[in-house]
Amino acid sequence: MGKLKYRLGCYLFLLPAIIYICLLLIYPLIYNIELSFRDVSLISYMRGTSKYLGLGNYQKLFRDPIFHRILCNTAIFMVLSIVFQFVLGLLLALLFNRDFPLNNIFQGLILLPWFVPIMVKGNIFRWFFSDMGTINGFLSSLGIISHPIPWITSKSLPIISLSIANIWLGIPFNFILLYTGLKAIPVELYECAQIDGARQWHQTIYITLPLLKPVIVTTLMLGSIFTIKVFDLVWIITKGGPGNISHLFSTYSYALAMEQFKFGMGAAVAIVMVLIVTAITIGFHCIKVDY
Amino acid sequence: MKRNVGTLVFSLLMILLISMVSFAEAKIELTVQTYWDPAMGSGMKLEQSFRDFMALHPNIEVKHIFLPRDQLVQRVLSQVLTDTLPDIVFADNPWVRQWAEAGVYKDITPLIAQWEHYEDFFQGTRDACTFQGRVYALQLVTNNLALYYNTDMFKELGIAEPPKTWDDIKTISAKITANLSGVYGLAFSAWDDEECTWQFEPFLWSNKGSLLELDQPEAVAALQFWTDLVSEGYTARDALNWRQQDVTQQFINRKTVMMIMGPWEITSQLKDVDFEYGIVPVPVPKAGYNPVSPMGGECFGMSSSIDPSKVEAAWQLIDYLVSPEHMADFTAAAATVPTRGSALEFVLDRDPRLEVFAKQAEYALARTVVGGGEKYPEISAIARSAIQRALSGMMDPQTAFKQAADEIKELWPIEEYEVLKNEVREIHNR
Repeated sequence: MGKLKYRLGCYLFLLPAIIYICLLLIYPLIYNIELSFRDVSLISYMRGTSKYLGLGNYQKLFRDPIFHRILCNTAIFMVLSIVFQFVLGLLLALLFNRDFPLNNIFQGLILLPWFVPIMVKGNIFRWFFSDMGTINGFLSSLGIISHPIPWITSKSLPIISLSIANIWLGIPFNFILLYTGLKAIPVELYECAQIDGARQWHQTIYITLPLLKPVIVTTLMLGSIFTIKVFDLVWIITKGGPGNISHLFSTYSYALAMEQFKFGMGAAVAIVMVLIVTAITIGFHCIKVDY
Repeated sequence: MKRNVGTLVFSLLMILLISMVSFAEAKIELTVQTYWDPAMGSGMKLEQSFRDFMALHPNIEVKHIFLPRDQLVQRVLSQVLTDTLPDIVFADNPWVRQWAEAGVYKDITPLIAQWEHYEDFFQGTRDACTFQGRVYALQLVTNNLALYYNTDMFKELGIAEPPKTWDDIKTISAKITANLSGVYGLAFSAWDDEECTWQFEPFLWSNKGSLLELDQPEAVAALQFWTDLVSEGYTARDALNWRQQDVTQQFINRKTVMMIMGPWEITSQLKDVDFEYGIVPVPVPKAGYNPVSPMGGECFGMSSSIDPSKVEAAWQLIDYLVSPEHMADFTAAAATVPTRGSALEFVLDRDPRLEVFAKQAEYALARTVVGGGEKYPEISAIARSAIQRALSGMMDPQTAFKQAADEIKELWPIEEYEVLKNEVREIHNR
């Protein structure tokens, strides 16, 4: 009896969290799933007269060439972003893990992209990549190009340009997580290794990386989730254009729902994104992390 | 006895007093929700108008709620579902028909029937606010597009006349780009937004092309013309990423000598420019064609859930807002154009630069009327995607518009599409 009371007490403390999750996560998700099975337009939404379509929206989506492009874009965007963000973040973390003059100041500078509002960053990149923009100006002043490169106005380059912008934005995040992980590795291990005659290179491979593995897995997992759901950056720089070739899931979902008022289709895109994110998360959880 | 009379008189007086106080307190409160920022331009002027109106009608209290444009539609959606719409529903004109069909608006046809000013409104604005023969709102202001040109640079280059036809644009642009490096002929906004479709419409419609038949030669020719401008270097390729305000910036920085723009920039970004500029109608395909502009502007109607006791006050407010004197006052302050003929002369006295826009207002077309009604947002998205594909060189104009036309056709059952298409064709052939 006493035990039951104790348990009830425990559940009582969980209650706020459960209510929060139900109201703000579970309910919207279920509502979204329901929307994605219906033909919901602005009018039918307001009047509550939307028709049930079953998997109709999804069938339409999988036939949509824009959607195929999005799958492709998302793959390019994720691979480029994750690989470069992680490698550059790790190199920087290893660098700053050593002592050198002005270390702190440089660390602060690395974090700078984080403090700039996304509106500002996005618009700077839009200008940076434009035909008359900084990067083309720089290249042509060096005589490398005679015609401006259409970074964000051509068929295949926009997604690459967006990835470059996203890599720049993601470095501080990767850096700070990995750096904190590095700081947690006991110095004694390196001292032992040094006494045993291990070289710098060996220390990194056999001590740093294995001990950093849990942090690396977390960084990659969070990085993938943050990358797949990027919205504002793409919305500001290209808005999915030109001709819908640089959309990601999030921007296409928003464009369908909020610009064309096709709420059912928009919800279907969002659900596909949620499924992929869930798959990625489960995948990362399957990686064994032993200490 | 005397004392009793005294008490009676006293209590009667008290009752009278209390009822007067409560009567004075029972002000009718009207809420108006707009996307006009009270810190500037139209929003500031609107709040001033509300204060003037309240001074004339002490029993009415008008409250203005401001929301950014991209949040207004979402807010109205949730307000409909929770039955908390503001008393006066404000909308951009392409939204009105859709909202009327969704049941956001109160049918004000009976009020209009007893009102003798309705015929004074331009056809386009009346069409935009009418759904299935019933009137749901009145449009306060309108705007449209014209061609701005830098008179100083025209003089420097010895160009005598502003362009009248598409060929003129090309000839003038060729002269500009040959003489000035890094300067373009014409700027327009072609980013992935309604602004792209809107800026393309004068070219499409003056060539008698229709949004519902983009695969027809008239429409393809208009897109071919835009594509030529970009491929021949007369318009910067960056137009694919320019918002309308970026276009004005190009014009101000003399990176372009001509631009397609609406009247609102006269009092905002172009307020302090240090050069002379002229405004002419958007050039037409060939001499003899008429310029046709899409119609912009905002409308006011009543919410379908408005309290019956407030209807009279709400009508008084709308009547005040659209009265010729107020309309002229308002449009001059916000650099837009009135929606009724009798207000036009007041405005031209105040700002002659609005003349071209004012003249065009009379014949400007409501986008929903010739663009598929409540499906306009979808059609606009399909059309501008095709425009962007052609301008960026991904597809030739013919293929891009053929694809778009096929997609648009599929939005309706075939018979319905045929009827609609023919209706729109008739309007364009008028």
